[in-house]
Amino acid sequence: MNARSMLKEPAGGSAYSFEGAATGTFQCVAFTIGGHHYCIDIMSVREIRNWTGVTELPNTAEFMRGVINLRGIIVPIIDLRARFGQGLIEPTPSHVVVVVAIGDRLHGLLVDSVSDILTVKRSDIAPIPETAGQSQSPLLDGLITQGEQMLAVVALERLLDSGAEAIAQTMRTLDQAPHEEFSNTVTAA
Amino acid sequence: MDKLEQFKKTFFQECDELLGDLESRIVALRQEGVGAEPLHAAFRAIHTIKGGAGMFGFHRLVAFAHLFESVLDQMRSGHIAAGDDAIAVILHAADILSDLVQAARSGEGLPEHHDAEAAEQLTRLAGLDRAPAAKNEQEPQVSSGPGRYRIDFRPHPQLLRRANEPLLIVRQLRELGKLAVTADLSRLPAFSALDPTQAYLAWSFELETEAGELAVRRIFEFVEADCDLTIAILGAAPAKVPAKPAASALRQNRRVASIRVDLDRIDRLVNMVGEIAIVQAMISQQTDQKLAVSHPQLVQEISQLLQLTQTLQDSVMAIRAVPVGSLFARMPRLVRELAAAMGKKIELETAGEDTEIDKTVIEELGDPLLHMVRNAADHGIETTAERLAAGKPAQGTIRLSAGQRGGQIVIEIADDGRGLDRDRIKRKAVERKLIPDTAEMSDEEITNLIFLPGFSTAEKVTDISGRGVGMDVVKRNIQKLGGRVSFRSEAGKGSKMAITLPLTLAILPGMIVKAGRNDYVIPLPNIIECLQTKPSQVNSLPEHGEVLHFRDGYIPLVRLGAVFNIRGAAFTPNPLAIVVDDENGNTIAVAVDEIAGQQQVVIKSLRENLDPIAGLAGATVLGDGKVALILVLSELLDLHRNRRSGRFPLNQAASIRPGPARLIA
Repeated sequence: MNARSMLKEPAGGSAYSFEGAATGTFQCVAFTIGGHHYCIDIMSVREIRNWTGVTELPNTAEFMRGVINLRGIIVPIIDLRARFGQGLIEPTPSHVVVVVAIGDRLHGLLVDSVSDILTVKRSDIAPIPETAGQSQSPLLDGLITQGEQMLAVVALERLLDSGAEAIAQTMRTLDQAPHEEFSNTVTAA
Repeated sequence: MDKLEQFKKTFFQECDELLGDLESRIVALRQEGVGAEPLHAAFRAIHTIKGGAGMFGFHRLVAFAHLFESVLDQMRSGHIAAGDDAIAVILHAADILSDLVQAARSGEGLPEHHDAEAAEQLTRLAGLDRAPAAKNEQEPQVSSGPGRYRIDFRPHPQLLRRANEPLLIVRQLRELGKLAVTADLSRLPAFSALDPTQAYLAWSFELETEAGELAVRRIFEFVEADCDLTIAILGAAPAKVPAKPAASALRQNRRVASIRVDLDRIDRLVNMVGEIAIVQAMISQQTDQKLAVSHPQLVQEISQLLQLTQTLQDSVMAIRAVPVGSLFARMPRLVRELAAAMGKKIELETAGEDTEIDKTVIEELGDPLLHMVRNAADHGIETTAERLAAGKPAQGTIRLSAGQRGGQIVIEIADDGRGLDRDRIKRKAVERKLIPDTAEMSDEEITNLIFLPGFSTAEKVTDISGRGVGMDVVKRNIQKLGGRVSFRSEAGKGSKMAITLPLTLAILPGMIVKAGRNDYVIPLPNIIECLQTKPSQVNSLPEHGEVLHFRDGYIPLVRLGAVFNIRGAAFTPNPLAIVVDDENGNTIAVAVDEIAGQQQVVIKSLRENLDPIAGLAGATVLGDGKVALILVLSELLDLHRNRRSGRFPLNQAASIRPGPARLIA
């Protein structure tokens, strides 16, 4: 079954492609990971639920935590902290999964907590400053200032971009955790 | 899509079904003879196609269908004998009709002469055979000269209900010539008693026309069954026109109501029912002894609900099932054309067309089946000369049958041809360096060679078969559906290929096993044995990894925890091993942590939100709401080997879609 057909129809995939662009405002769901603040376009969000555990998938990137059953649909869960290269979240029942539609697929984003829903002027989204070693495929779209706080707008489409990084990272994990194999090794006589 | 397009689509869908039906009816016609139901059915099919085609203005199709229909009509009335020649003409005409439908659908024009030959054959059939009989019956009834007619026309309410308009008929009559109309108002009730859905009026026409009786009758063609109609040549006694049996049968057919439903909707339904079954299982698990004592009524109702849920699940699955006949229907033509192209005599027998299979399977099965039938005709059946020399009847037979055996569907393609030439197969395999020339092989192993990619024994590549894209593709497609292919052959006597498929794609009998914290499902039909190994049974070989001493030999031991890289999976020297047939002809032992039980699992796709992951066929949701992953056994050994050789396949499993994502970046 197509996920779209069951859940509410998404208004668009990218942060800049729908009505907000016309009215000049941007509505987003804000959340935290490891004390940092991020936000994603509210139009992509399908639901927010508590962490309930996953079934792990074999031989996938580290940030791919596994899959859950969302009313009959199998939805993969991405550890957003791991995706940002900051190590795995150690999830508890109070951690939160934000289910988002990216293209025509559903994904769950594992985050620490959801904090707010914000409406900002589109013109208030600041570009990411040029820094050394910038990725080919940046995971952030821009920056929002809310009082004293800075929120980074996550580029959802690019979360799923493979990139050599993710693969390299997984290879490292694999190397770190080699399986001990029991062996009654047969030595050639 | 605009309305007309939608109707058109429906029309073509209907055409497909009707044409498939037509084919089998005509074949049955040969066996059962004329006058039987098959002839009526064939007539109905063509008549319906003609009607639809007329509606959408496919004139060429209408013309051909009309000719076709009239031949069948004459056959029905006994004016044409249903001899082999006639059947051959009709079969050919059915093929052409199908071409015309395809052409109408695609909007591509067919060459002018495409249907000419068949049309001519039909005309000849109608003309030649009719000649002797025509004089005493056909002629007086359908005169074609000018004349005066008296037509009494009394519509039934049915006629109006089918959206026919008497006024249009009157106008059409008037176009034929000089028309005098008398309306019979005698049955018209008082206005207060008038029921607008009834038909009260009747008409008498007097028509002077050059067009002939046939033209007059044609105007009433579609309403004949829904009115009292007499058409008389003035001066002669009025002859009552019998209502066409075809028309009444058509109505009966319609009463067997069916609707077309989008497969998506059914899938959604199947999915939801699956969910209900899971919740049901959860509830059942919580009804313990204590509850039975404190709330006996509740427990009873829960068990009733359980039964209802199961019935519901079965019914929903049945919706997806369609008879395999629609698949077989394509084959007679294929065989006929192949036989003609190769100068062989081949008869196709079919059996078990009513066997129902999941719709998705039917769709996926079409190509493999086509391929296998083609193979049987090309490689299996010998030329007529060869057959006679071998003391066989000149005509070869391909038998296509379907049936249900113990929870599985078996489709068999058998031929009485030359069988497999094992020496030649082996020679070819050596030639193509698929096996070393020193290989000692059993008959069975040689037979399995035909499933190797790139294998073909055909001496020359024809457009029929022999390009080497063949049996391996067939096998892979069938395996993808969760089925198996087996092949038996006896030199000189023929071959039999059997496809075994699960009854439904949606449900799988599985064994639930655990590794680490995760649950996995191993398809039950593949399991040979489950055993608790002893440390002495498990050995490790350099370059090969672990092997298990099983029965009289050694088989690879694949640790699920290792090939899947599962955190926290146990690595004991004496693992629990599930010995399975991996569908590639290998017996392997899969080491797991724990066996959690057996159950029917509802298969859910992982593809919806994820890219394919090696080793996984899909997922299912267990009674406790947890997701369990369904294993593809045929991929485990590869994963195992790659791991040994250090080539670790990393799935692109961040559910990466390579195309669009890149574009945005």
